[in-house]
Amino acid sequence: MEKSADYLLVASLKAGDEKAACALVDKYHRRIYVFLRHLGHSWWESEELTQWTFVRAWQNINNLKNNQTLKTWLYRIAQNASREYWRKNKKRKMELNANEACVAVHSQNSQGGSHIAEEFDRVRQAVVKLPLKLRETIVLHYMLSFSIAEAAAVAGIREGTFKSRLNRAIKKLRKELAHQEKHYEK
Amino acid sequence: MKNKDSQSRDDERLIKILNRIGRMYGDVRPGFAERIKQQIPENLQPRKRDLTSIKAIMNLRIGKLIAAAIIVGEVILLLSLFGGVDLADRTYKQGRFLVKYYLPPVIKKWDNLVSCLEKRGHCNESKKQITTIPKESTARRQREHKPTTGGPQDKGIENIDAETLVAAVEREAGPGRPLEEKQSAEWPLLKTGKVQDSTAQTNEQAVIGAIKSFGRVTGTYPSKLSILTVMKEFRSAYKTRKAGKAIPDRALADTTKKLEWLCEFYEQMLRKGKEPAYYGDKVKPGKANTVLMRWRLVTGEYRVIFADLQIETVTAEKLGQLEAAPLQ
Repeated sequence: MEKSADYLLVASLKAGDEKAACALVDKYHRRIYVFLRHLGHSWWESEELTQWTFVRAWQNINNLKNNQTLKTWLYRIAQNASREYWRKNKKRKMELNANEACVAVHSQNSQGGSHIAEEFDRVRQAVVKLPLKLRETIVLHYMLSFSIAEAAAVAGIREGTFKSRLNRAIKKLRKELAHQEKHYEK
Repeated sequence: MKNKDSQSRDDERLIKILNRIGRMYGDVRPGFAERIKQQIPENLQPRKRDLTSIKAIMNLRIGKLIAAAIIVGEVILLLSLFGGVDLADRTYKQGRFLVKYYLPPVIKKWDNLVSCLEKRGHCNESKKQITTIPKESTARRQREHKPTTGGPQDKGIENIDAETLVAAVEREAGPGRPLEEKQSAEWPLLKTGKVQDSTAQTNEQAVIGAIKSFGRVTGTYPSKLSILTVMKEFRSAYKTRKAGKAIPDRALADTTKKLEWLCEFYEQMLRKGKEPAYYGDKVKPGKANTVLMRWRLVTGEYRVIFADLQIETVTAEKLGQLEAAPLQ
């Protein structure tokens, strides 16, 4: 059903319908913002990149091929925007506001103590420390619950490649967490 | 074994945590969507198909300078072939006519064209003169038929009225052609070597098919044949449909393509000056003898699609009566 709705949305956008452009924003702006936040951008960077994603989408809607879905296409634009940003700002370290993460976790776990929040925070820090490509796979598949096929389409790689990348990402994440644990114990 | 078990348990736990983290940051600042919407460009217009070739070149990801050079070359070529606004109308049409016969496969079909013209009595005396033209060298052809503002004209082509020739060929090609063949075959007659009456029929069937598909979803006909209006109406009608009546994606894609084609077909006829008219906003579906759409044929008669989706060829007088009827 979502696919059909997206198909109509695309057709209307291609026809130059301004309402469809608004509908596109309403439907996807939150998801794209969350995706960018998980990729390690600060809130204001994520907002800028989200805006940029939609501007690019409106400009290039005619380039959307029939075999592509609107959802994966939008995420791909956002991902490219993020990559471009990191390329241009190599020196800038990824923002990780630990307090922010803790607050979010606390608000979700009313009964959970600071122990859970710390664990979540450590995992999140470890994800942000991963190389960009591995981080993208983790975010797409595990955090945003994309299927392997969808996530591979967003990443622009084959499913097999995506799976192996995912495997590597998990291994690296585990290693990083173990390292953090040792550090924590010391 | 224990290690493996504990590792898989750790992995599961890790994945669960990742899923939980994924649900964070669900909130955006209030008014953020509105801020994005403000940036919707004013010229969010339907695609311009005329620029397709330029876009294709740009999409090749070749160097910007090379792309620019190709585009400039393309413009110069088009201007030299189809430009000539300052030239006399007749010379321009002759030049355009000859260019279409420039390609070798087309030259083979020359005799077919001449025989067609002979049957219609357009050039009884000039067969020899026409047939000699393609056999001449390319350079000579180019030199002789290069558009000129004065000077001696080629005698062979002088005997045939360019308008008559173009009209005759258009008559053979039918009133309209499917869009897929738009670029590859300017004249289906020359591509297939046969008179393509079926091409016109195919177009008519496609038009009716597109209107039917639209009607199936909306229950009416499109009020206008502009792509923007059609898509708006279609989308709003589709939205109001019940969930159980959802159309499969492929069918939806087909319908959208058909509607795009219909609008393009109508635009094409407008550009060609075939006097098309469409009365979707005034006509009720299924009403016989009420004109839904019409366009002029080369013969001067009109092809009419009625509201019950029957199609007929009528004279200009009859059309006048038919069109006046709903107003009365």
